[in-house]
Amino acid sequence: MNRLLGVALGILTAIGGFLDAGDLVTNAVVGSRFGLSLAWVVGLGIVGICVFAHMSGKVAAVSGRATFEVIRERLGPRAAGLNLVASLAVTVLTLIAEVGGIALALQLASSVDHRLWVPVAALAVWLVLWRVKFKVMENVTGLLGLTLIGFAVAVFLLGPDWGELAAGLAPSVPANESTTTYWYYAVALFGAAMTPYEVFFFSSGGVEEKWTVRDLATSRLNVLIGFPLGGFLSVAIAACAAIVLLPRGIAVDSMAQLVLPVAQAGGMLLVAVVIVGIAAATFGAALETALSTGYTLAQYLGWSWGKFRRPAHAARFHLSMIVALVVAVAVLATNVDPVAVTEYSVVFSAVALPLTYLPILVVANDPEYMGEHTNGRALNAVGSVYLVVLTVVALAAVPLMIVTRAGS
Amino acid sequence: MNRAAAPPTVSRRNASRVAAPTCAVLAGMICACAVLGGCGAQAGRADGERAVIAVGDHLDEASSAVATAQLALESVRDGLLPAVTADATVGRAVESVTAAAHDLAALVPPAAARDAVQGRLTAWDAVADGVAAVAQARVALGADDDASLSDAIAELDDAGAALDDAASRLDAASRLRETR
Repeated sequence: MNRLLGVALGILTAIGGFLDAGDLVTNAVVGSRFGLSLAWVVGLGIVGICVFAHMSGKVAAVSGRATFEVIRERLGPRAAGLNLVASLAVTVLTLIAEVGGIALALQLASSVDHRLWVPVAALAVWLVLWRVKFKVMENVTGLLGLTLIGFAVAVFLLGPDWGELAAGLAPSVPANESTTTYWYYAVALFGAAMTPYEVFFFSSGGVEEKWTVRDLATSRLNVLIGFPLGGFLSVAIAACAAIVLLPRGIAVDSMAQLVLPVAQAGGMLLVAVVIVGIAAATFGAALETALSTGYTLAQYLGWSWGKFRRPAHAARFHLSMIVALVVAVAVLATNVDPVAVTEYSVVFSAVALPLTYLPILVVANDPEYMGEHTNGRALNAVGSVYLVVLTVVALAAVPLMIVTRAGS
Repeated sequence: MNRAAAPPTVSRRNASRVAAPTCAVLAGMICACAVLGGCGAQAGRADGERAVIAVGDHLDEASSAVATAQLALESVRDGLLPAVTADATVGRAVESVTAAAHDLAALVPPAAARDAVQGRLTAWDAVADGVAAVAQARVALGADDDASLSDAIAELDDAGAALDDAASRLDAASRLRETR
């Protein structure tokens, strides 16, 4: 019974923890401009993140070591260094977006300017990283993030024409948008679904929670049920925007606009529930990205790491997280728009994807680390197909960004 | 002690090991800055066709901001949205509509492209009305009475219609240019 509850809790946490500022903003922007015609990209991204998060979790459970540690050892410092630079840059950019996202969520609840909330948000993130246990931190933010299910409830309460909504799922470019803009947002959505920090956090979290081969089934269930249901919430956000904002000619350019369809559907109560969800999702993602910066740096440089150690015993790991948070506050203090940072972060995530995921595929096939648990043929086939997709997406991202002037 | 004769503490090989990744990171940062700079809003001098497209884009941005403020105020009036949340939403709409006005003011269509010059002037009037209406919406939210809200919603409605009208005229002028 306890095991069953543990599995259920893991799945719920995975659903609630799946969405971050990038998913929230990108799905709302896409829904308000393209309806549901890009929902297929969310599906593609979900399958991809499931495949690589599963491999990453398996590496942690079988070898007892985090993916990045094994990559550093298996591929050497140069190849791993390239991976480190790419994923660290994108992760810090994502952290900036998440801290900005918390501040914007707090502004929605208080009307106090988000710039005043930024240092408060960063301080709260640091306090949790410093004091709260990993399991508690993950479960509380994941479960509170589940309140984002309010978006799915809103879709039902809005009572759309379901046939029309389903017809909108077919990939097509709206008349008032260009094909290049359509593909630019396809790349952004894909980058948002497959953000690199997610796999590093997943595998390092496995080590924090001391996973063994016996936990493989639980890890698989968390990924294969939790992530797709998280993806369902992504589509619900896009659907809300498509039903309420698109017909009124409102193109989403702020997080505040996310709650307008929810208000139309469920009034103040549902708005309050969704604001809690946005705050929890961005706070949880800020914790994960801050931890991921510490994990990747410490694992590459061979420092002592982990929240299971006292901060004094993993001083450089904690210091690197503090530095990342200070950088986030400093960047946001320049008056940069957090939503713009979020949009750039998901596109640059797309650029870094092959550098992040290729080493995972290599390590997951190494019998020296994985023993009898190396990837099967089917998983390798899917992984290889995805690497081709990731490479195409990475090569297309920056040119599309320039041609479309970042989708404007 | 002759300091100049002391052996270097970092060999050339080590120096190149350090220099290569540093150069790569610097090159990456310069590329990123160039990309972000290139993705900035299109403003300044433009040929006639581009100017018309830019005016249309700024009208769309302003329309979106006005419609956002109107939806937020209607939600408050109907008791669906807390005033603090609406204030944050309309505050952001003010930023968007003033950004559209700024970009429109910064746009310099060529004097020979009369449709672009006229379109920009019409758009400017409509966007200026939009800025005033969205700014007034925040005042109405602060006033917290139904009459102020209704007046502000009506003002936003008018501003939205003016923006639609300006967009239609621009569209018609641009079609005329194509037929010529």
